[in-house]
Amino acid sequence: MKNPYMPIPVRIDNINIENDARDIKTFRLVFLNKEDADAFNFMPGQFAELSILGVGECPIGIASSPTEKGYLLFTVKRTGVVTTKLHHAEIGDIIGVRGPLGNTYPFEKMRNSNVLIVSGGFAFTTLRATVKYILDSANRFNYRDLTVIYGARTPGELLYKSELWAWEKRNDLAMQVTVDKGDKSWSRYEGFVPAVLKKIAPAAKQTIALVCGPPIMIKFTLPVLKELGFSDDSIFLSLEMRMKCGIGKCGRCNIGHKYVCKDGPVFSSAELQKLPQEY
Amino acid sequence: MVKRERLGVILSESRLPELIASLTETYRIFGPSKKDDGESFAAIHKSEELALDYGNTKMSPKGFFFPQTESLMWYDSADKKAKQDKPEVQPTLLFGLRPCDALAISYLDKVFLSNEPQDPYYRQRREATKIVCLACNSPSPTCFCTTVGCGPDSEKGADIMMYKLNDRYLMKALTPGGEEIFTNIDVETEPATSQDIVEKDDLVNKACQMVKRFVDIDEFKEKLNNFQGPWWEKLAQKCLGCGICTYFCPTCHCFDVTDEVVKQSGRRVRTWDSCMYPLFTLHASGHNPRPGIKERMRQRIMHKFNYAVEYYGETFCVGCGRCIIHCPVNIDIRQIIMDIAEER
Repeated sequence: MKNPYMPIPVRIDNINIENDARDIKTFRLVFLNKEDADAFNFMPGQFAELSILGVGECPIGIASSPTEKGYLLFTVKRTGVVTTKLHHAEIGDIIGVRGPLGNTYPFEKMRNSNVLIVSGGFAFTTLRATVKYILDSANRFNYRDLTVIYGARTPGELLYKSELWAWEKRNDLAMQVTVDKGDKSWSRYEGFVPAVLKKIAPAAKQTIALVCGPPIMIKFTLPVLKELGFSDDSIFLSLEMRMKCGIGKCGRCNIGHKYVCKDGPVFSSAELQKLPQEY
Repeated sequence: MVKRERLGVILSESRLPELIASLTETYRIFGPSKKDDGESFAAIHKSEELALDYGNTKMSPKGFFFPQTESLMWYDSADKKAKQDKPEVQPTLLFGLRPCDALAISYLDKVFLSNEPQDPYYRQRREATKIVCLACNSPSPTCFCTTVGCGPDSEKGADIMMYKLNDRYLMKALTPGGEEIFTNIDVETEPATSQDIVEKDDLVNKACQMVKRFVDIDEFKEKLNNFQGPWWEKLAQKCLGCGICTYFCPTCHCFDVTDEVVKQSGRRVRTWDSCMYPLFTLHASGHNPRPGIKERMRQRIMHKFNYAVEYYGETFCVGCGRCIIHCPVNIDIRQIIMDIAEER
């Protein structure tokens, strides 16, 4: 039987420093064995444990879309022991990946609907994968209007900048970028994500909202979505928790009777309201 | 070979040495050991080493399947490749397990085996092990199995059920695994008679009466649906957060995974962990969804009596009483259940 604790070996193929603070890097990982690559079937919203032998593991959302063949992207903020070690890694280093883990954004529900993405800070990763997936020519016709609202503290803290500016120019999505405080050259929105959401006021009818960001952003975004007419079962959030096994056994990432690693990380707002407020 | 009988078979107590000798030909046997006054399970080679009149062992037998520490994989710095560690398994018999511990193992089976992906380490040990359960004739004062859906003669999790009658044992194979044990042993038995069953039922009834049913568990569980219940603050005041309850608990199964490196080689190790510790849920960002003892105690109680019921359809408490015996500040889970049930 397959051992879910064994990391799949991958090579760091590229490292991109994402922000001015230089504490967020995107790692492009390539599987060492073709059969591992073929077996790694995932959808946006899922995550994996990045594994460094001798150091440990940490759960990180998959930032690439399955339509991007041949590699996986993980955008990692330097925070704890494993992420710090990862930030010291170099191109060519071998690490491990364990996954894909968790559930996905509700692509079945999103089919033939409008999709609204609301995100802040470095939580944009699995939503970047979602945008990339929907924009793929093989998938785009399955979804209607795509609106993306993404914010960061400053222009220098935005992730995937060149991609954001390319998306702005496209006519098959509405890309809205905001920063809390702009600099001299900033010509886009200035202000918090919930305020920009309120200003843009996307229609709630037949729209699925995907929300991921820091707790404070989520706290103020949900009331705006409700005001706009979004129902709790059309709002989906992606959560994070301290994890170890990633397969619903080690017991620490639960919110009530749901394990974030296995039953999540994506939950509808309606599901979350039935769970204890302990996250 | 012991023939299958409708009511079970009777083994004279004087033949117990023969039974154990016969079993050791096929199985490695672990049972409550005289060496430690029945306080622990140890390897048994002959029947004299068994302490079958024990109350309950100090440590639960969960470590046979889910050891306190085990290596999941190892690696050396030369090739940086993780190599899987495989538990050494051989046909094993847990002999004389109490019904509560067998029931607890059936719950652990749900955690490690019922949901995909299965846990391969647990599975290898579990598949190699069969369980011979011994019904309780004299439960301990801390036992409360009958309150939580278990009992002195609970059969779930057992392959063979044994009852100690006056000078003999009544044995029943409950599973194909149990029948396999019967086919592997060569010892003289007799078919049980209806008189034996009457005697057994009488003993079980007496044992049940000794285990005090102290509270309406359904009322307690109903109260737990109120996550913000006012009782947690008060209940948590006494708790030191030492986590000893979770180590002794036969159903607690939370674990940590850490890397250990010595010089050039290392291993990834799984160890028992406890929801009573602050690090258990501490995020790298510094945020902790369960920052205090109140939240952590609530998690422990809720996991057993509410979340597990939702997730696995079972109450993850078997009433063995170990947490009551070993708590350094005398927190009694029965009292917790009562306090919450009776809170108006």
